Amino acid sequence: MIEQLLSNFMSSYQIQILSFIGIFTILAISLDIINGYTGQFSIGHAGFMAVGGYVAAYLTFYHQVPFILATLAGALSAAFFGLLIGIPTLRLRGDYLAIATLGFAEIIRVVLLNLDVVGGARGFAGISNLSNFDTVLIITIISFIVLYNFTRSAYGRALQSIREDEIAAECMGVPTTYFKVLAFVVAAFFAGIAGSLYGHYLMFLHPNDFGLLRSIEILLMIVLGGMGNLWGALLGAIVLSILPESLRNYQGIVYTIAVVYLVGVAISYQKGKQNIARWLAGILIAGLAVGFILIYGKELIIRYAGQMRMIIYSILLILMMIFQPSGLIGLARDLAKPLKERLRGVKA
Amino acid sequence: MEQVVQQIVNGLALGFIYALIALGYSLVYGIIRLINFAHGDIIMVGAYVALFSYLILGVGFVPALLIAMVTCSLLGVTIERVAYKPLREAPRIAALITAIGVSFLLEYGFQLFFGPQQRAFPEFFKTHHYKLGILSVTNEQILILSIAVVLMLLLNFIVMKTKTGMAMRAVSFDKDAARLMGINVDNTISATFALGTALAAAAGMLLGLYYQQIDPLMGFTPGLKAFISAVIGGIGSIPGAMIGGLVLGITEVLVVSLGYSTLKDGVAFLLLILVLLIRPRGIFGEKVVEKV
Repeated sequence: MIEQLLSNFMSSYQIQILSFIGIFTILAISLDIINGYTGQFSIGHAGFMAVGGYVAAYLTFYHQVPFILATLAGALSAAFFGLLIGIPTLRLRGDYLAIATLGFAEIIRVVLLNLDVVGGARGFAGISNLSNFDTVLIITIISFIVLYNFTRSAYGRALQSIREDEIAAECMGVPTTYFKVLAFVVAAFFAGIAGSLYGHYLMFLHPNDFGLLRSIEILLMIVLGGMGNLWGALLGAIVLSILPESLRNYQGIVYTIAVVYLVGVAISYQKGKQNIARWLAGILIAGLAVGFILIYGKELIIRYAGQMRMIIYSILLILMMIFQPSGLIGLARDLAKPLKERLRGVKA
Repeated sequence: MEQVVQQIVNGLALGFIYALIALGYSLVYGIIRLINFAHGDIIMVGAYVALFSYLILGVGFVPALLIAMVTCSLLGVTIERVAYKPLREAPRIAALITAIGVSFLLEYGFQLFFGPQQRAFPEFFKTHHYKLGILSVTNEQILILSIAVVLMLLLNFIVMKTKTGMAMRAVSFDKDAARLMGINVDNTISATFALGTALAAAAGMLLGLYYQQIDPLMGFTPGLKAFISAVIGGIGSIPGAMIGGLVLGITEVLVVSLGYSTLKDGVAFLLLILVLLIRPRGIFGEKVVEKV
């Protein structure tokens, strides 16, 4: 319905990008439950997505199960795997957990590559096209509302207490083990839903789509948007779904770089507002340099645009962590703060 | 039976390479408690530097090894100063994400500059096969073993007998106390990175000899496997890293020789999860007491 409405003034390509924004939003907000709210560290989210996608596609392909039921089954299987990986978290912390989740996702990928019933290394082709923009939009909105309420409930506060200080939380009577496993199960459930939407939208699944790169992409979304904030995860999903598309041509690259420059100006303003003259000189020189590169490096940029994506991602990861660890949402909040105070009549 | 023994001998060479990488991991992890994801990609950089110093400068094996080790030490120290040092007081997750960023930057930067294709690694020596009773050993395997052993002994000497080594152990034990005792913590951490990355560079060159080809993504999987080795042996322990590397190398060669080569990476991770479940501190790891 909405898809038809949109198709009046948008190409099917643009609608497809919008659909992927929805699917990635579900993935990003669910990963945010583990990484942002509970303070655990998972880099295996693509594994849960793969489980949900493959189980749901298997059911609709071989048994003609209705889409909603198949998606539910996929999500429940992903949640079961979340339980499986959640159990080692009783013992593992931080870095060990990161490697364990990575290893877990790799095992899923390797098993899928060797599983002939779902196509193995050839990929799973011929999945029916059961999801479109409308289904994605509705399920994304429902997921967002459910997770948003979840994070504001007593459960969500318990998860955040684990993030702030696990030992203190335990002393206050929070069953930390239970809640850490719960975080994994809930996040895996929604990742499974996203996997099912993805498979039935593209009508094709391949194990290598769910490798480490995919997990890192989802991680980057919540890092960029701001961890521990679902609006941030949404923002990150939107930005990172549009970014690779806008890097396809020179005009898009110019717009992208201009936006990145403006964000950089805003971030540096936070750090440099004590010395406005120095800050102004800094952004002026940086702006001239960017303009110079854009004009004289046009040929090079066009030639290497396709290969630049991962390099831009990795530099973004490093710079965000060093200069803006609270993400874009945190930046917006910092910038809005003096404005808010003025509105309330508080002297800054 | 003969075949099994032969495969174990083949696995030894791979195991020693993993052990060498795992030592670097262990060193760095021991001192700043950070999984340096970029460690695996230093392996790749080391192999490329060795390749180019052979192609451009025409040097032999030992000079190429030394050039690779020195270049990577400098790279390692630079990475530490630029990317990790600003985050030393930040939450661990921030440093971990940065490490992933550095790793991807190295991989895809090299892909951009040197192309994603595989390159043949030069054969520095003619391959000879030696018969030892029922077993057959190549001179490359012997070379890999001996270089790995020499470097491990050297590392053990540096960590246990020199002043820098003593400073490293002090910093890894208690950073603040070490600073109060007049140890320059920043320099000690840099020295640790230099040492760890030099080992990784050597391992990269040996890995090039072992597989006879290199590519920009070659380091990631061995890096992860070396981390698994370090965890199996007990992170922070030098003999542990060695034993863990050997266990993993031999397991992997055996799995491949049984015909399950597509499953070999899965087996390594399975081993890791099992170890973490049964004995999370590894074979030689010390029990950590939680302090509030």
